[in-house]
Amino acid sequence: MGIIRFIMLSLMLTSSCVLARPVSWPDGWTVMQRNNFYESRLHLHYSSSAFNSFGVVLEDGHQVDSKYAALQWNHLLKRRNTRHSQANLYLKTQLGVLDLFDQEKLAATIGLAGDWETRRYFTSYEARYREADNLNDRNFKQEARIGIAPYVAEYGNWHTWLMLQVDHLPNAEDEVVVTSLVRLFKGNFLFEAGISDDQDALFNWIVRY
Amino acid sequence: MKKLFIVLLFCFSGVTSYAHAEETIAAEVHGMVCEFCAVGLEKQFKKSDQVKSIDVSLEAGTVKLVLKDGQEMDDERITKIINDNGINVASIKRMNTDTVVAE
Repeated sequence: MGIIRFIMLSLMLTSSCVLARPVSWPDGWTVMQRNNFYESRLHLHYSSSAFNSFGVVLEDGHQVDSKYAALQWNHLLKRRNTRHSQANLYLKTQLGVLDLFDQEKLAATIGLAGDWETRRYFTSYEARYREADNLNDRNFKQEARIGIAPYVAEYGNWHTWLMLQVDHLPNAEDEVVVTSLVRLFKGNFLFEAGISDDQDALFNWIVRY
Repeated sequence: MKKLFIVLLFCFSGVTSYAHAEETIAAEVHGMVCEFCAVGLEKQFKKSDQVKSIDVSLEAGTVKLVLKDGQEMDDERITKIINDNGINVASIKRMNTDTVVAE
């Protein structure tokens, strides 16, 4: 556990952040689904520009019996482009309804996400905090990733990434979960499949149009 | 009158030829490191009436545009489209290709 914590802290210090960029191209739509040991989440959002997106998020919690539906606004706070890399810092906000232990309450989520990538290497980090009105659900989660592309593909071809994801959930039974995954990426479609150290499956996909 | 008839006949006979300039523009960009960035740029330029074709290269970090016959697109417009996609422009080069078309 000590080593895992060290790796996670190292990732947090060396990476800027995120799993999938929450803002697309101007006038673009994104549908994104994430399934892992912790939750199943569906996002639908519209990007008014490369800096802002608005949408909805539906979430089904697996750790406790919870449902969450919210409106979402994502904002690109900072982007740094170089010839061979891109780095981003995003603000994510949500306001919605959380159904927890058969109680429906207003809930708000705020998150900070960042990433740095080249065509060969990828790092990301995301921290998310949710609080629900009058419910003891101060939900904090953070996630970090590193990835490497075994080959560098040209535009229009299949891109493959091998990634390691570390989730830290202070309120969960298993605080730290490490997941190995493969990302396949072509055009406007991205697909990920992986398995955690607890043998839980991860399955994510994104379509942008 | 006979000469005029011959000239008119020649003009409408289908053996005419004309020249037009097809402009190719190559923009070097910074920050285009993944498919989503490239797809976004391609979509935005394809919306433009002036663009005949587009070729994006992640390897070279370039966006090459071929404009339709007689169409123009200034550097400011190209830079705006690229910047609006969250990508930076490093340079823009233009190449005019004169093409003679015979009919």
